[in-house]
Amino acid sequence: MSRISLVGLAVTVLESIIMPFLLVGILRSCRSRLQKRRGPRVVQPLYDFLRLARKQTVLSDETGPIFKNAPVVSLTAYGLVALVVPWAGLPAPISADLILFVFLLAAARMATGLAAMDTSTAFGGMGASRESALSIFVEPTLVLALSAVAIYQGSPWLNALIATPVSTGGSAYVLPLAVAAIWICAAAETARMPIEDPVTHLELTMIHEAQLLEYSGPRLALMEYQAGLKLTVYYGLIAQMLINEIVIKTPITRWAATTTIMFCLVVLAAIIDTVLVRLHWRKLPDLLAFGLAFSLVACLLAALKG
Amino acid sequence: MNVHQTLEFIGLCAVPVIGLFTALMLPAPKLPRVVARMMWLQCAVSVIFSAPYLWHNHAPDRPWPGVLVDPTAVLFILLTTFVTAAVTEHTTGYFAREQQGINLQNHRVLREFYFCTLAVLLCIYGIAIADNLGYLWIAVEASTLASAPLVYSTRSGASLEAAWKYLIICSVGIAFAFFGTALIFAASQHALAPDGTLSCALLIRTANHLPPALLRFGFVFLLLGYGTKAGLFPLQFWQPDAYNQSPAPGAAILAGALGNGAMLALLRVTNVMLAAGQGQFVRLTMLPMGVLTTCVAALFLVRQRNSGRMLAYSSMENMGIMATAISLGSVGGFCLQAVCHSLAKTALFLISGDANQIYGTNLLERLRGLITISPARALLWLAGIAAVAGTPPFGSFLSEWHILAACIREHQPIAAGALLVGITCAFVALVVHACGVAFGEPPPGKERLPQKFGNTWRSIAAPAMLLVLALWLGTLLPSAVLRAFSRLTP
Amino acid sequence: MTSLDSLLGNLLLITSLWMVGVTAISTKLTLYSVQTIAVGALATLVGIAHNEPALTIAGVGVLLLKGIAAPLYLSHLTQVVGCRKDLGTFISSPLLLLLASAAVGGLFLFHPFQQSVPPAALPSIGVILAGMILMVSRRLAVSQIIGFLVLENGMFFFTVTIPHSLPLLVELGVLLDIMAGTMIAGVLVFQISDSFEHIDILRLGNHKR
Repeated sequence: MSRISLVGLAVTVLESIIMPFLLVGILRSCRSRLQKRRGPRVVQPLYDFLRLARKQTVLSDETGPIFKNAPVVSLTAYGLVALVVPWAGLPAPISADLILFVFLLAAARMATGLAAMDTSTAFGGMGASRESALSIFVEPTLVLALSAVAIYQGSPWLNALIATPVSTGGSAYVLPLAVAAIWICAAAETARMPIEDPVTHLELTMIHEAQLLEYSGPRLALMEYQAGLKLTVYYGLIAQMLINEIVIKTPITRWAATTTIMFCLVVLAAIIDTVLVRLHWRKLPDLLAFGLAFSLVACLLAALKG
Repeated sequence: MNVHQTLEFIGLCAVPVIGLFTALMLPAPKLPRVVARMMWLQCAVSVIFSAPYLWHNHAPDRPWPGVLVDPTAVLFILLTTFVTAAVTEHTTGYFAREQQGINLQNHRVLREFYFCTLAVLLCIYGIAIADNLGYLWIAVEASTLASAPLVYSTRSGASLEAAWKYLIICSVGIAFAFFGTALIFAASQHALAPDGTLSCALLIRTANHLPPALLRFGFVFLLLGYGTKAGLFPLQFWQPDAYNQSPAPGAAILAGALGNGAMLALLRVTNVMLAAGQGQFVRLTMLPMGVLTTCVAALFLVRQRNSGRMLAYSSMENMGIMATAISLGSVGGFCLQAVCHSLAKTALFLISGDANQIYGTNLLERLRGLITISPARALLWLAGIAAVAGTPPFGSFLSEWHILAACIREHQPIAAGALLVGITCAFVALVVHACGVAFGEPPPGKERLPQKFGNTWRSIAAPAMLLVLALWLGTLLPSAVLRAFSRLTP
Repeated sequence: MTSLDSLLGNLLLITSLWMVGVTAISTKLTLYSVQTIAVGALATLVGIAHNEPALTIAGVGVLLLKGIAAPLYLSHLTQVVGCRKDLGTFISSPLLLLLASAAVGGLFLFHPFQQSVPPAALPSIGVILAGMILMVSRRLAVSQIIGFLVLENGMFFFTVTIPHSLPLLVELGVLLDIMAGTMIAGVLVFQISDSFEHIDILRLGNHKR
């Protein structure tokens, strides 16, 4: 293994440990500021994690082995996701194609969903069912959007995102449309505003969070960390697509640009969380269909290039 | 540009243009009489204008680029003027008798009615003389816009719906015709590099160099577009409602003047296609459309409960026959059919308007025994039905015969058979409905003609005149009429 | 010029498809305005580049009349009539959005009019298709007018993509007709809302018979 990729591996691992806490912290504090509240410190999520990790676990009598092991399974899946996607602006340590990425996300979602149903509580089952219903829209959108990018770049490997575009002959709309589609996916997957209220305490309106209601202690800490990791990977991915519009030569500048863009995206997410209202559950397909249509058109325009 | 012809042309348009302003400015109660007088003046003007073209084999004129005055154009100018004049003459009595909807008390609607009628007349002039497909399109769209207010001049909810349907469906249809026009223009850029042309005459001259694929594609859109306006088969939804909901004179204008405009546009386009040697393609698209229109209209005619809708479907049947004639290249048959249909259908709508006023309804089951109430109207009604159905003494028999003969001559036996079945079926249905209206016992309380109808002879003069003209065309020596109309072939 | 062509053509297509999925009238009007201004600007630029004054003037006319005046008039109309969203569409709009995208995709991939239409004109056919879908799927009178205008945009874009422009008189006449049509349709909408207190086309039929 060459030195660059060793450094890349080290940076990726390090970042995937730090960035989730940092991004979530920035998001929360920004949102609080925008709402004229003082809000928590930026490092509060890390303190929360440490606090939860030290706590005792309370398990319901109804839960079984699936519930106990799901956090580890999904952590593995997300950990792999963080290693196969070049989200940090550096080539991913493990070279993989877009299908593996989507598959890993689905595996994590399945683990979480099964665990939620394993608790045999009403809210857990409801959350799991809603999450899987959402995934009907999210997964095709993600696959199509990534395919559009893959067609545009001429390679299905995710690492091709890091390479500069093969030709600029294609339509200028492919990447913006794909970014819009993935942004909507990210909002659905990371429980952001038009789809799910991230600060709600009302279980009836929860989707993703409803699955985690029964968790406590270290397992909850893991789950929260994974949510942050997912957010990080998504925003990193979007950042890569945005960067591809500009040509950046050296890995260092690319990494710096990526990190900057990720912070900007987080601020943007905070703004969106503040200004938008949560859509009614039955109105969600309206929004997600837009994502699907965007990715479809992006695919089309990318395919027309050839 | 020829000064003499330009002056002639300005003379032709002067009266309707003055009429437009009159309709806006004159006190409304006087309006019907003044406009009717102006229209008769306009009739005289248009006869003078058209005489050299129709009777002396005057060569086609081009006063301006994009404008072509040929015998066909002149014929339709004359026809439309005459029909409009008859309608305005009839309205002098009709609006005075009308109680609800559009009448003499309703000044604004009355102004709007006359304004739009004259605007439609001018648009039809535009369609007739347009040599440029672009100008043709503009005139057809303008005629749609000008006639939409006619449909809702009764101001009822149903008429609003009909007007909306009419405006939107026809606008979309005509938008497609614009796309077709653009495609033909693109085709012409191959033949007349680099600028291309939209002039029908130039297109016909360079027809052999036009790329067939583009030409066909364009023709399909033009057929769809203008076919919508003419009410050809799959696109006729708007027609029954629009004819039924507009007041009788408005429906007469729609049927007698506007339908011809769209057909004339189709004729111009088809001429280009035929010149380009695409006769086979025209027969593949337009002929079935025309025949189907006739047959479907005949089927709809069988079960009709409403006189306005019945007349609308009869118009549709006639449009189908005209489209068939155009697709077979039988310009003479088309012109004769269009003339006879316009005259008879206008008369029918005027009479049915009177009948609606007498009975207070337009449901066929309540229209009974017209012959005991007003024998003259019943007679005209039956004569008009006979004329639109193509019964022998009238000119339409001649034209339908001619078109059927053209079908056989062009080796289209199936089309001829289907057309024959359609015409026969429509004839039977129309006669049954019409006899029901004319004969039988009048409903209680309606045994007498109401006082407000006044002098019978004056109030039926306009439809009677139209029908006499239709009869005259049929009773002249058939070969002479056909020869005269065949000469219109460009 | 060709890259600008495809750039604006695709913008037109994307906004049209977007409009298919949108139910709020104001959003639709904004999108319509954006796409009309884009196509007007394109016509103007192409006209200047190819030295065709007819196209330049037509482009400016489209930009000002269809791109600015018509949306303003229609938004005034919606405010007076008081409608902000499409009532239910015949097919739910997200599904329609996907169907429309798929239809346009099929059009692009299979390219059925290979001999007749140059590839540059394909987006215009897509826009025409989207306009048609907009027209037939909406029940609100104002939305149908917008659909018609989108359809017209597609056609105008087609005339821009063919090598030489239509004669000036034709372009201006068409523009005039379209504007007059919009005005008359607007007046009809006022009338409909006056007599029915709604502008739902589907419910107009209930008053018949």
